[in-house]
Amino acid sequence: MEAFVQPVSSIEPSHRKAVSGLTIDGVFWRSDLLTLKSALKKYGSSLYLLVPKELVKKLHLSENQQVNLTMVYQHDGARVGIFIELGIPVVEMEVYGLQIKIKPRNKVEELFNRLALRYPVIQFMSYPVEGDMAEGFVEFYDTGYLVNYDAKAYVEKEAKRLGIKVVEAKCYSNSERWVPLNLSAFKGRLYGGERFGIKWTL
Amino acid sequence: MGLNGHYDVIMCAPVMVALTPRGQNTLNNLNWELSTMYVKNKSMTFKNHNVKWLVKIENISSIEVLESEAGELLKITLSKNERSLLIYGATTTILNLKKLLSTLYTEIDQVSHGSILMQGENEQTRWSELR
Repeated sequence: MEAFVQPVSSIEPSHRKAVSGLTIDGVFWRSDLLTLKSALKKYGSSLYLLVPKELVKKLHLSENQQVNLTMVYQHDGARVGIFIELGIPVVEMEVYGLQIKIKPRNKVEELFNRLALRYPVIQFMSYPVEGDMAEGFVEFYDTGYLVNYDAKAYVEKEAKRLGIKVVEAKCYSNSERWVPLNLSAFKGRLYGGERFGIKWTL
Repeated sequence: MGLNGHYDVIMCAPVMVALTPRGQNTLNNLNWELSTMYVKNKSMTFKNHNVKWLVKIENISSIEVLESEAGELLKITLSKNERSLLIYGATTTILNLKKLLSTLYTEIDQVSHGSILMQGENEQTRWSELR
């Protein structure tokens, strides 16, 4: 049972050893998976493959997740394996944004810095436009409330302190989807990580 | 390919970033890091608890857009040591970065590249591991 989930990475030693860590990126399984316990149980006419908890945790597998299973049979009939196709892991998150146009443009960075200190900022960008103005946006993680409207009020208040004229301020929201190319590097490293999850798509 | 001179732009975003070894042309087996990218004036900074990379715009020899199953990636090749930095993130982030870099450079190459497939291994290769 254990043989069909062998490590692909060439840097792994051939002998068994304790699992020091399980690094999973988009292409390679950098771990000696042979040391992870797994089991296959029979229940009536069904077979249950129990995936080890280390994999469940690292891969963010979930209850009732759809996978494709294929029976893999060796020519000499020595072994039969189950090929589990999980699909592609996708990060999905709601993003709340604030589009702004201010004057003068050299104050925009200070304004972004103040927003970043107060709110869970994902990203911001600004570029100069005509008339000594800066146009751009700042986006926030989902905080459970309409953070961008709160930030808009804060911008208008801080603008007065900084001597900024807010020419335009518009709230928007959208959902972002992207593939974490290295699941191990991804976990817990983004602010507000508990508010978005990984979904596997076949 | 040359600089246009519009530096009055700032950008900050979380991205996945990987540095290719010298002389490597394939995108396989890269160590992707999640980092915060900061673009300001004449430089790009990538920072997390492991790495801090500073890329001066003047040291970039080419910028390519690579298409993959995961979406578009930007490949920035450095002129001094011929290593490349690959940048990937949310679609809007990559679009904005592409737009920003296109204001700094007159030309960004659009190339197709299929080797960074998330499930890119040949299934037969995996199946042949059964023994």
